[in-house]
Amino acid sequence: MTTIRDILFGDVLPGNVGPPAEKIEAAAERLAGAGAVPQRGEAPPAAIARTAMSKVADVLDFPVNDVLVGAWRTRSALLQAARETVGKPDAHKEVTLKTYSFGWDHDVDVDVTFNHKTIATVSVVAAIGVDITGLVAVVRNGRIAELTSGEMTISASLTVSSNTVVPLSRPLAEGKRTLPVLAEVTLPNGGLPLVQQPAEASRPG
Amino acid sequence: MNRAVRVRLGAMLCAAVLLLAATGTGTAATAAPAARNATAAAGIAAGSSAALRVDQLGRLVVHTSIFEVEPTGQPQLFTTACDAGEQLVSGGYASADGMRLVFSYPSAADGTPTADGAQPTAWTVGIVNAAKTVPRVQVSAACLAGGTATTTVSSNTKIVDQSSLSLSAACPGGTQLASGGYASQWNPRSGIAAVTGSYPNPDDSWGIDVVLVGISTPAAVIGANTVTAFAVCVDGSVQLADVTPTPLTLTPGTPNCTGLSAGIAVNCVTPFTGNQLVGCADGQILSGGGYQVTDGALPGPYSVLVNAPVDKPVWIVQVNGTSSVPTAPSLNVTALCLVAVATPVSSSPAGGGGLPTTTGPRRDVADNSFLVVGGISAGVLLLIVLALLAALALRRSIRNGGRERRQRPPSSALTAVVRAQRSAYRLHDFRETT
Repeated sequence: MTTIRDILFGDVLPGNVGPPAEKIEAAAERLAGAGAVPQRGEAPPAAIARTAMSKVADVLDFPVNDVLVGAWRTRSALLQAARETVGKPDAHKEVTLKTYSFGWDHDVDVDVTFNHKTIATVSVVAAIGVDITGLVAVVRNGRIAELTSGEMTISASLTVSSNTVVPLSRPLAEGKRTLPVLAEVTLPNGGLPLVQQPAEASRPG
Repeated sequence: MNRAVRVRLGAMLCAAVLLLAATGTGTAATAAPAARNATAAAGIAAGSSAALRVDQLGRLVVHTSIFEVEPTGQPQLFTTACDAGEQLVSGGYASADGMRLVFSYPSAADGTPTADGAQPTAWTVGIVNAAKTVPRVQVSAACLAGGTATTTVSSNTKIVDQSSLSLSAACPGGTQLASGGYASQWNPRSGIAAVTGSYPNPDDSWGIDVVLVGISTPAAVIGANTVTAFAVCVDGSVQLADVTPTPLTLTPGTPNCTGLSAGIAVNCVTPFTGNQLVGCADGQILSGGGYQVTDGALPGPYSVLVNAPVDKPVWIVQVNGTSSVPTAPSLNVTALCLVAVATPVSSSPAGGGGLPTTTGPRRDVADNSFLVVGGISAGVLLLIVLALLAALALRRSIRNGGRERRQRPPSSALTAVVRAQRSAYRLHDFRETT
């Protein structure tokens, strides 16, 4: 599965470990160059920025699939079909999304410490834009039962932000990838639930 | 490493330490009373230094005020003052596009520039709003609270008799540069002296760079335009830490070209933006900061939109402007940091202890040569103590037979921890066609 980190910094596996590391290093250089890292006696800004960016890269190592399914569960024709079919085992709907797009932001605040003392705080925002075309899905009983086609283009950008006397914003990394939806979205047995199932809703606790 | 080897190594180390200790004792034997006095003096001095750090420097408080700037052809003054009992060390502004910032200086609470030798209590900024909007600007005053230092102002005024010039204001003897500012006379009919750099000089004076804007014959404005450089100077047992300029990289945007024929750019302007934050090391207090163009020219004489302290505390400089020159200028941003000076402990002239080095002039905290007595320094004594401690630790390790093999993480390593994460879908960005 493709992760946000993969899109911003490149695949870690398969392939060489060099390119992602180089991109993270380049982002760290931009972070230091943006002036978002303070001058400290304990460590040069480049080292602080590198430490922060490595952590940010780790944080962003989660699948695009999670973001995509979350969007479907937030606002989509798929969600509408799920609501219409939930609790009706015999009902199903075939949904065609000619286009579907959304945006998603993930803010991360990272403290860089030296000798257990915080010497810098870096705030970054990963902004994701997803455009899906030609998605065909079958929704049954509130769940996506089948996905037969669809392609998605994911654009990701990482910027550093600062709430100092004036808001600062500077790009650190960006990436774009086009992927088949079928390869990214895993449908569990029984389908991918988009709404709470009646059995779950009535379950105590 | 096996146990026998470790024991042998420990014995050798102990022997070396004993030999070193014996040598040291021998060297210091002829001055044993003096050495004791020196040790005691060193202890007092170190204790005094620690106390002085707190008492002398106090803490930095950054006061800020936000003002609306009405459109007008004349400068408007905006002032932010320190609280009673605080000492102003610096100040600055966060302006907006279209504003012409012509003053940024230490002042009284009513905006009057502080006279030479007098104590400033506020920071004043003068802005000409040449736009038709009413932007908001922020004026900052950085003040020392709870310290014993006092600040005064020194200034230098010059008639603008060239299309560009530099001048500086130096602090009087016995004081240290804390920050600086400037004021340029506003006289649009005869040309305007715009300040394009405001920074600490290597000789610890405050320098400003000035260019004449809007007139091509400087001789015509001689006597009509003056510029003033201000230095804020701090008294007391404080010292300016080493000053290290930090580059501010301006990022060029897409050039905007206008031309009469396609393919031939008659006139292109390139937007440039950039910012830099600089701070001080632990144990130091940010007193001021500034910027200097080291190569090229600013993208506009009033393109420095932010030049101010913020309470992190860091000094921030932000540039946003356009230039007909496609290459970015080189800028440096510098923070001024104060450190407390360990005042040497004076020995009584009749004390007979013979501590000549403790009666000398004030020294830097990093200069511990005043602790040298009788041919042996406190540093050597410290080394001996450390070596003994190391030997004891090694011996204990051997006794434990490697029982304590737990590896602790290196305490000096840089680490990063996630303080917070937030996620949200941009609801207004949802689009779909079915």
